Amino acid sequence: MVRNRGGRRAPARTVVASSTGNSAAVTGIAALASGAANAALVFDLQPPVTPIAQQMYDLNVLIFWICVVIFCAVFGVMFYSIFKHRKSVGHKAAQFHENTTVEIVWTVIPFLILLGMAWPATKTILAMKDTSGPDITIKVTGYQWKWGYDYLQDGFGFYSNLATPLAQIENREPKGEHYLLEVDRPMVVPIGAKVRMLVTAGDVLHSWSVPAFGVKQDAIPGFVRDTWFKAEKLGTYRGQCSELCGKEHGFMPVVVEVKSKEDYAAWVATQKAKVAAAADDPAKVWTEADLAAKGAVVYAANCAACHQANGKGLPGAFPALDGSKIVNGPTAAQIALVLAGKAGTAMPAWKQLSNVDIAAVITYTRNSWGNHSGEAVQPAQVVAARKEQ
Amino acid sequence: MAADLSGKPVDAARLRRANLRTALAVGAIAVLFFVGVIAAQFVGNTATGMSVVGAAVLLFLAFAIGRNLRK
Amino acid sequence: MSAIPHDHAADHHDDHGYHPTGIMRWLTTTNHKDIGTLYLLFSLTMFFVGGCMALTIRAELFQPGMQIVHPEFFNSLTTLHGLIMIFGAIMPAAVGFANWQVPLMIGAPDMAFARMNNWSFWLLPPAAIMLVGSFFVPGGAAAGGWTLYPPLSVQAGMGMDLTIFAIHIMGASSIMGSINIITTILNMRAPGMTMMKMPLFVWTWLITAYLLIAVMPVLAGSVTMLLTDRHFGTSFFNAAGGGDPVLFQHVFWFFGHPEVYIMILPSFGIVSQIIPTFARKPLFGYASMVYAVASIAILSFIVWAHHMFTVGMPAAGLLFFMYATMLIAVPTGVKVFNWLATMWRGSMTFETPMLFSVGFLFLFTMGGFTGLVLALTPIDIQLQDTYYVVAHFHYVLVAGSLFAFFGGAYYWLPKWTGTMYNEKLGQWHFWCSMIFFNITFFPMHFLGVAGMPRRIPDYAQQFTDWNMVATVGAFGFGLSQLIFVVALIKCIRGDGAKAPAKPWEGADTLEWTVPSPAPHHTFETPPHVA
Repeated sequence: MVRNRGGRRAPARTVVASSTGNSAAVTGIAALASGAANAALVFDLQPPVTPIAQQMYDLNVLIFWICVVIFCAVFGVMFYSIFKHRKSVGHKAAQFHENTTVEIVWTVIPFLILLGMAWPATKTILAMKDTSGPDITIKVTGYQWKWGYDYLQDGFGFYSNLATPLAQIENREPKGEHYLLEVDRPMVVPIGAKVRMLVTAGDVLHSWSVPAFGVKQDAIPGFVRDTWFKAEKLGTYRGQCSELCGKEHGFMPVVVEVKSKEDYAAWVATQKAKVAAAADDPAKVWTEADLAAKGAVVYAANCAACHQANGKGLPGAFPALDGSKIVNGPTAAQIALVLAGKAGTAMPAWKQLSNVDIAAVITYTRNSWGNHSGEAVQPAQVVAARKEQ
Repeated sequence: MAADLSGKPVDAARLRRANLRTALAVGAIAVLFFVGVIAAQFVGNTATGMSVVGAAVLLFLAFAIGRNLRK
Repeated sequence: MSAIPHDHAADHHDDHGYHPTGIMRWLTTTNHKDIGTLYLLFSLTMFFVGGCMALTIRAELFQPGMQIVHPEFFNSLTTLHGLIMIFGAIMPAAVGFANWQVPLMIGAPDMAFARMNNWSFWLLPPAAIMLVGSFFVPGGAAAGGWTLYPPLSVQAGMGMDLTIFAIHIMGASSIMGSINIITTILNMRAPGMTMMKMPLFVWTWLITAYLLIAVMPVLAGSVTMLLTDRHFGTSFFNAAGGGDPVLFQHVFWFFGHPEVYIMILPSFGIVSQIIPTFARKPLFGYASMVYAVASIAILSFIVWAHHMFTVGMPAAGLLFFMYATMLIAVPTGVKVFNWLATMWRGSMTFETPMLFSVGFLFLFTMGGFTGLVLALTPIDIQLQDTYYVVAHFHYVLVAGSLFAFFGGAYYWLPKWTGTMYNEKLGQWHFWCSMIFFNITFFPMHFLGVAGMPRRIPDYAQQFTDWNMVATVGAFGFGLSQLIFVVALIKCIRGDGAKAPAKPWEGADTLEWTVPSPAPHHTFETPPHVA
């Protein structure tokens, strides 16, 4: 009965597949109830890998069967009445219109059923909200349109961008196995550890969600909310931003890898080493070519969604950078605009990016497409601009 | 409920006055809610503001419906 | 038909015998029947406008990948589809029914404030033009979802301002309409028509009107704060300025949840008229129906935060809103059981209005079950902002409100036009709607539990099959509605059997005592209700 996104993947769709879907839609309830499901079709919550998700799953099954029983009882009566008490079979109308006893009965019984549902739900809620005693605390920040993860105890962090190439989205290439559910750098957690997530956002509302963990927490700019999970199974788990956050809302997946304790420790060590190596000396003077190469990567991850890979923007919605007055004007103005964003437009502030990244991406834009300033913007200039803000 | 045709015309002026009274009362409530919900934000404490407005709604509904049932 | 005191009424007609014709008749009309017609035709138009948007959405979602529209435009479509269907289609349709039926059902000659009635209708077309026109302004239409959550809605272009103004205008229209309806019901009932003798449709509208009075100003207030945040430097919802984005959600849903009942209560009323008529048996538990509607209305004010279970409320908040939400199942259950008991041991026939009512009962109850599932916070955490929610609210709003409105339209069209609708077309309309509705929306439950978020223009591959099914169903459902247009046009043109004053054997409310079509002026001398 369970189909999950981590499991079987349907191959390229054909007309045959959709006609299977059609017949299945008609027998949807029956299929759900009997547990007989077409291999290619999704029917159920993703397989839970945390105790909370397991409780949610069980609660859902319980409620489902309660509803099925009520459904059969209520509509059994209705369809019996529809077939027996119709004029065409000569049934004469009774004239009763009140019966205090049955009215009390059908007020009290639903109430009791509700109490029965509320009890397990209450227990889960209390467990869900208990974020005390975490083994690891990770801060996740939603941005338009990517996630930032900060491992607070280990002092490193990174951004996690959609890894699906634009060519797949625009149907120029066949879609990969994890289409839209793959990122360049997934979040990594150890198995069996209580992970407390501090969730916030840098611009608008987002929602950090991993169905297999039973976690969905809105990310609210200016406020930090927390939630937790304890993954009990190795693997890669995928979710998506679940609160409308603008144009690329559908393109900011969440990917979490659950590793063994040893693998996790090794991963943390490499991350820390990378941080040490990448602790760019802001005073270092970069060549234009190095900056532009790094900037191309930063641009693709952060800017291309609106300004487009060809720098032409989208007329009427997002301005072109190719030939833009700002990009070809004084560097200070462009640095200030990138750092602070432009109020009243979709251009957000990018001050969360590193000095090197900002210098690199500005250098890239000033030396790409039709723009040929030939100059390199150094990280030191960004540092100076930050001080002025 | 069959219609009985022997009803007499109602006092038009009196009806107009009664209508106006009802409309003003109901309209005042609408204005109160509009102003109230914005004012509640200036008070600062969201929970208090919302509870005051919420309690007002409940009281108002209980009163309005209870009063009409008697007619 | 002897229900109208001919001589007197005829004299009276001459007193204000001036009837402008053509467009001026409709622009200046103060007649509740004309205004009811205007409301209903307006809402039908907006229903098709919103429907075209829905079909564009479904076409884009037929396959993974971006094919037809850009993501930004897609977001505008989902936003405007929601706003137009709620404020342009469902709510005006309900007011249209009220305009036609409330005076007829309580034996009043017209609405209490005839001129205000005209204004409250004619505010709507400009608002609709602003909404639809916002697609053509720089930056495009509002794209932050119909819930307009900040900070996204503060970030948006001038399409958002147009949307805010349109909401203000529609809100003003709703409030004026509600004042009119409340006043009419309280003060203009025929002698002998006590509150507890009123037809249930009138009762549900009275309570709906009170809900509107209480919550439309709240919506207006919240979008006003949004507007000042956007342009006048306030920080109601901006954390950097000491505000709170979640506050908007609280205020919005304080409006939004009663709004759900504003859209469904008139449908309850319509169904409560139709089922007894076609079961040829009085409504079971009239008093408990009235109390159930009133309790639903009151409970609707204390459940709003169940739309926000994932914002990170404290456990006490989650528990309170979960319990309160579950409690709504009790009065709603009472209503469903009462309708069943009305059908039980009746002598039923299944003309189109009854079919739509039974369809309503069946599918609305399904929507009730999914509502119960969503009420449970732990499950809601999994399902919040997924297609399961989309399925749920389309079951209660399309199969709920809309089906009841279609039922009501077929039920009263003979009275409104004097011509019987074509029964065969009606039956086709019902069965096509019923089947395609389920093909469209039932698979969305599966998509939701499997984790497909709502409001995304593109999706992962495992969601493909059900999305294809839903898209096929959506186009079928959309096309099926054209059958209604044909049936409606035939009625208006008088192409069909002539309707008697009381075409339905089991009907017993006052509107069936006047001739069909209902004359321009009715009940100028109030009937006396025994």
